[in-house]
Amino acid sequence: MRRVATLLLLCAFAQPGLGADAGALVETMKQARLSEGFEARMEVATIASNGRRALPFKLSVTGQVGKDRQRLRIRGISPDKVRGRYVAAERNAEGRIRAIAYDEQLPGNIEKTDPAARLFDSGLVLWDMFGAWWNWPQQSIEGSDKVGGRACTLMRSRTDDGASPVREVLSCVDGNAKLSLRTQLYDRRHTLLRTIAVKQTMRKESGALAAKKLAITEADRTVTEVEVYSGDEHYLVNADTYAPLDNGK
Amino acid sequence: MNLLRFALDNLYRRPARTALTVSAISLGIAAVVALTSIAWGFEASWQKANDARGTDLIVTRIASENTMPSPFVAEQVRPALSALPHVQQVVGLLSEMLTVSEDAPPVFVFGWAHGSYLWEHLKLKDGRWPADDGEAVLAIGSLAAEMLHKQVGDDIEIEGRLFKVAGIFESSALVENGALIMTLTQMQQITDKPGKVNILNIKLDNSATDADIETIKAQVRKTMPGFIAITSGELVQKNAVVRISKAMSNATILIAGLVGALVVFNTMLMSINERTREIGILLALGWQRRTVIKLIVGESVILTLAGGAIGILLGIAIASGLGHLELMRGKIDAVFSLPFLFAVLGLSVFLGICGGLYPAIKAARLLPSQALRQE
Repeated sequence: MRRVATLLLLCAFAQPGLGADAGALVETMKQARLSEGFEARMEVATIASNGRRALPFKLSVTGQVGKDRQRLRIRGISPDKVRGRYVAAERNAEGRIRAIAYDEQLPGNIEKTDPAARLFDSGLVLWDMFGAWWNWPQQSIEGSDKVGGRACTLMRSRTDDGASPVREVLSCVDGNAKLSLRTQLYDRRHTLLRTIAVKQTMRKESGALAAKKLAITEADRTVTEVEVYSGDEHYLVNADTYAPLDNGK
Repeated sequence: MNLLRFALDNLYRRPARTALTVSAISLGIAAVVALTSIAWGFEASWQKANDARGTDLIVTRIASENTMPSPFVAEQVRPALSALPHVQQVVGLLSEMLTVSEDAPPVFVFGWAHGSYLWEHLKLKDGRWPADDGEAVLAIGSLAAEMLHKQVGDDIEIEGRLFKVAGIFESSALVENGALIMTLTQMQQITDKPGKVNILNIKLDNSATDADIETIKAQVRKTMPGFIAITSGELVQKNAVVRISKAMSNATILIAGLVGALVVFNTMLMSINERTREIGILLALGWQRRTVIKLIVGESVILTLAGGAIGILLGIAIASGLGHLELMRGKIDAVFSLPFLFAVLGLSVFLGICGGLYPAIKAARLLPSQALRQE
């Protein structure tokens, strides 16, 4: 009888499923990101806060996402200002990101670069692409919301790591689609750095959804529109793909 | 005066209402004709492209439902396919829809194995074909040449690389006429997909029968997990865009049918309410109730038939006009089959009968004594 009473008390005062649900959702998102190799080619257009539209450019993002290591390589396709320019980065098991930049025209000229910097004068940031916040220990569900008419769960991810350029991320996750429909990134002063919103989705072979169109709105109201126009879910990563990254160790 | 003339005269008495009803029906029918012909045209164009190439079977990944199935490494299955009985050639194809000019919408860019049978059905209008697998040149369809304003010798930038136009060709399939073709190796290089293809085209020898095709399909299913062998028709049927466009045209038929029937129903109901005394006099003069029903249903059928005929012409004009828009050129090749157009006309008659039946029965049930008392 006492056991039943204790159980009832526990049920009454517990916040049902909060920690467990957050953990499950984080695990779903981490699993959805795993890939032995992928490639996405995208067109990127930046619109300044005064409405001025910069010349769009095309990028190829190649990646490998494992449990202990993530690697990304960004290659500028066109026009001339980005053509042949590469940025490659690696995130290790401790969460540290190391990024380098190099140019096809200048072989051997490899420079270290800041993973939190804007890429090719757009709202794209290498750090965001790693989705580092899914590995942070502090995760909580904050309720639910709707983005573009689709219901999603609000997830708050926090870190105390002083070296991290982002301290808090508020994601609105569609658990069934395994996709964050809106991601808001905050710095240590809780200032909103940028919002990444999914505008259009496409279905992957696994049945999960992936973003086809994204809008990245920065603090100064600069908007970067990203549209994935091609890709390969089973990209064959060869020895050359990350060679500059491996050689630079 | 016969019944048809009588019905026509009744419709002429209210020309504005008749014209509005016919307009509403014709718009609905036009939407049905335009959307359905575009959906069929899209399907037919892809099928025509596959058939013109002389492909007997296509091998692709099972999960593929996009316009172009997801890429896979050709050598995973090519040796096994080549060893199957009756198989003459196994040829890879890689394709993407890419923006190649800021002034033109995205176009299909195909990579075809150099020297394969895929090239044989194309008619060279100008220039030449790529000389070998490694030559970075393009053969472009006549429509693509027109849309991109390119001639033999001009450069086209694709995914950051410059390609010279070596030749301009003509194909019986619109989808190919609006496309750019390069060798498979070049396409694999620019899309960073070494060794990969979207589909493998299989050409069988002349002795292959339908039963042999079914046997090959079964063998692929059994021995190559994750892959499927299908005919070009089946591939097109699986295509998500074809399925969506067909679903949209079916939904339009349903909505247009419902709206059309309601419009006719409303018009005929208003008409008999205005003509209660007249119907009463006809019944008093000895008209049979059956004749009154025939008259009212006849009027509604005339309305929908006229709306249907105008709608068909309007639908053909809309679909043809859309095909000439810069954004749609090379993508729309509407197909207008006579049986379908007659079926649409039949649908119009059906709508007329459905929409006119209740008002007709209501009119026929009037008692002459009551009808004559109505102001």
